[in-house]
Amino acid sequence: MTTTTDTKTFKPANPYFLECKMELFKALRTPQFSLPTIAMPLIFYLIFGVMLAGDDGQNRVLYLLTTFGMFGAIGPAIFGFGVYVATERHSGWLDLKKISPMPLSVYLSAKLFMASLFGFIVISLLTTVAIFVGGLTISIQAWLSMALIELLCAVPFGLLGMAIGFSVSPQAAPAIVNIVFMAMSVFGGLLMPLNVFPDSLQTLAWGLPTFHAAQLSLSVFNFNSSDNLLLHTLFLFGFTVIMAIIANIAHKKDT
Amino acid sequence: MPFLIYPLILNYFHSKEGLQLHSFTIKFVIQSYLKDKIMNTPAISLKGLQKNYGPINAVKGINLTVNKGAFIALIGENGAGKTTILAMLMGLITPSSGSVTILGHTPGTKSVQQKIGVMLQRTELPSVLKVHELIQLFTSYYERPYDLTDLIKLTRLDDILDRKYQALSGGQQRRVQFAIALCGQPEILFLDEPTVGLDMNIRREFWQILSDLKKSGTTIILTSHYLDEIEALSDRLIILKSGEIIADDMTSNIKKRAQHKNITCSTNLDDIKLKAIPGVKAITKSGRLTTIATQQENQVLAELLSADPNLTDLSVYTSTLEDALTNVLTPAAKN
Repeated sequence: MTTTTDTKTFKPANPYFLECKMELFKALRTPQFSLPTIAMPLIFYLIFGVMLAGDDGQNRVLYLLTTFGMFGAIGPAIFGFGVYVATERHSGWLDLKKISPMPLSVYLSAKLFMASLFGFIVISLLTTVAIFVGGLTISIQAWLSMALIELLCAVPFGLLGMAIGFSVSPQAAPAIVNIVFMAMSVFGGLLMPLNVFPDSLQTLAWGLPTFHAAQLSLSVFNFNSSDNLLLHTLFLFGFTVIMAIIANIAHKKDT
Repeated sequence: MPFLIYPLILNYFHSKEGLQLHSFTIKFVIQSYLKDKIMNTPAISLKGLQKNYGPINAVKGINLTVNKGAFIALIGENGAGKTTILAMLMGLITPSSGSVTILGHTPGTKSVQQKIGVMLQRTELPSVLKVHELIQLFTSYYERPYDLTDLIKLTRLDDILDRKYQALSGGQQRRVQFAIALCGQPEILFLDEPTVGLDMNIRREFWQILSDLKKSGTTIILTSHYLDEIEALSDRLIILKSGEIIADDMTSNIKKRAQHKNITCSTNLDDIKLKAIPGVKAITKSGRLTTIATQQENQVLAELLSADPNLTDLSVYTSTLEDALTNVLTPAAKN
């Protein structure tokens, strides 16, 4: 890296590429924020999914790999959009970008890129633990379908994060995002199978997008508790549209 | 546009040789017509601009035209509406009524966004990114970016290009923000309190860069609490109070209009006696010193010395823009 005005350092570059690059630099240079996103699902999974697997070992390892994978994919999406948008909005950095001719899609696609990248890292690490510690065997095809479904299902949660990020202060954002994220994960059956809950809570799960996302990813291994895949897909699609509208309103209202 | 048709007719009747000549003429006529049109478009035009937040009228019907190349200073107390007006000019908020145009277009549209640069109050850039990364990123947004070597030279960032933003001093951080404002070679530059909290020598360095930019034709809108800065840089001064323009004139005129001499001394005379002296405009006290504002300093001095032969610490000086503005902004001066 040069400290002079080297022309190589300043090749005109594509804003989409540069924005992703800078987001990546930010994450790498602040491991105190980026590492917990990866470590948290990993530690939970190691304890609940692998070490306490019990009799039904293999099935439990795979079932919880799928739901924890979903949990791990939603985390970076909801936090990346929620907390970072709130912070950048407050610092004036987002205002500077809004005043500039930067298309909003540059900003959003960089955030989406980061969420997907981190989601992918979490899913890969969980799988590594499942294979080497939990003794799981899984076909690459099934694994790729699971990972793809989980990363796609995380997108509307990014929009949910964005709606929160545009509405609350940066001090409040982490707490609010955490409450929403944890509540949705627990009651949607991402951290423990739903059948451990009483019937009333199992019914409540049908109202949560996390439940529908989990059912879709579980269907790869025929673990889904309901066969209504179309309904799950439609629910998530509707959730995406509503979140996009709310995020857009929150963004427009914000000045 | 008959002047456009004329060369066309000529062209029709002329030989091949003439054709070239006249197509050149047409081009010239069209170019000068367009140039004239562009030249006459004001940099900024505000018509009946209002902004209400619920029942509060933050901006109450502002009319303002700013010509290209002007250096405008916008001042007023906190809550006078400066920031709201700037936010409407930058396209961050929409007016409740009235209109804003920048170079003939609505703020917030891509064509305006390409042509303006801003330095906002209290901005924090991503702290872990390096200076060259921040500038490279912002430059990528513009169609016609500043030549990076020139930009770095102009904003004097050579030595700190590879430093993280969080490791910079306050003055250096402001320089980076200034460089970001200039990334797109803006025709109009908005600077909201650009030198707050900076040392005098850094401020003077910044003034030098600004007057160079002005010479190159950039329109500059500045808000500042430093009146020396406004006096040194701006051509035109607009004073806002409670969402309205209360003064709008050449900076030198505003200064001249309210110009007077200040006589400062330590005296035993009370306010009543002082006010009785003919020519005394205003009296202010700070500690044991009394300051008398007047436009007839000779007569007032003579009277003052005869009324209190024991007065001490006497000094006389010409008022600054700050004194002038105190007169404009205090209710007494409104009469």
